[in-house]
Amino acid sequence: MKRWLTRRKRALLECAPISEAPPSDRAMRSALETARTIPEAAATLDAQHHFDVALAKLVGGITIPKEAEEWFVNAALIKGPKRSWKQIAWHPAILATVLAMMVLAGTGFFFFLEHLHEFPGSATAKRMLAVASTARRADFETVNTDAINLGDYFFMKFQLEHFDVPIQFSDLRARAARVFEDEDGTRVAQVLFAESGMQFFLYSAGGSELAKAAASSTKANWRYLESEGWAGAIEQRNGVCFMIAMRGSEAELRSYLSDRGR
Amino acid sequence: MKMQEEPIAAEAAARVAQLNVDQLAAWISSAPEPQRSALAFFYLNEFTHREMQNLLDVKMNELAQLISRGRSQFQAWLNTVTDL
Repeated sequence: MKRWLTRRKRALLECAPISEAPPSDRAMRSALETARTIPEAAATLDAQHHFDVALAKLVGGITIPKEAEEWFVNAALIKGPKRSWKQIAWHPAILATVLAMMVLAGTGFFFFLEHLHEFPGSATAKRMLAVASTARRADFETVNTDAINLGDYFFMKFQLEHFDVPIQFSDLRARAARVFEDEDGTRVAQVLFAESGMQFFLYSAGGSELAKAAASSTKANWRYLESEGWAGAIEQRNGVCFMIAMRGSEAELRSYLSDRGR
Repeated sequence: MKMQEEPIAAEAAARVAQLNVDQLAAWISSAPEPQRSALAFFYLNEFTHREMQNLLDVKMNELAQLISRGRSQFQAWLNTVTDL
């Protein structure tokens, strides 16, 4: 008779509660709501409900024998006490589920925060920081000159054009320099300074990941990253990417660059 | 013995009103198990369908069938013992 409903819903509707109160069971509520949206089903349900109400009223008048009363008490016990929301909340299964969801949400939030600090080429830039942290003085050529002269040095010795250090760092004293190729084959100039823990990286802003890292920053805004006790800041000028790496935290590097920018 | 079945009629409530309690009790007690218990639990209006399934140890479809057939059989009996 209710072929327009699923078999499960038809079964539920056969057992639809007699009282007018909305059923606590979600599946039953859903079945009733669905049936009420279909005129034919609603009419059948209405007839069934009137039938059940009339019969339940009559059943209410049946006197239950004393020997059967005890049986009904036991049946009522089978239902068990109704749990409050607090009892439900402290149920071990609910607690475990809530805790698991909190851990998942926390992990997701952590990765989200991590991702906020990333930018195109940040993985490669982090590798540059690793290069900075493992740099040995013996691998470099001694230069012992002001940073402002490094542009000429790289052009004369390695034919690298526009590898100039930004003007705010021109007074720094470079102690050693070298040129190496990164994983993409891009030539990278690395400079050591007298200032302890300070290094510069310069490379052409081509299509490499490193260039993408620098290209994602503007002249006014450095892109920062931090890894294994080193902090880095990248910017791009005149087609050349410039990265400053410093031992310490990102906050210290920001403070240093802020002082230098004045 | 196979009992007659009839669909629920619009005037069923009026027919039920003509019955007395003893007639109904006699009809329910003559029903075979587990239909008798299913109808008793259902019309006592004290149990949810899940509780009835647990008490009777039947699946949802079985419970629905017990109640549905009980209604149809009761309607058929009602048609024979009452007038309009």
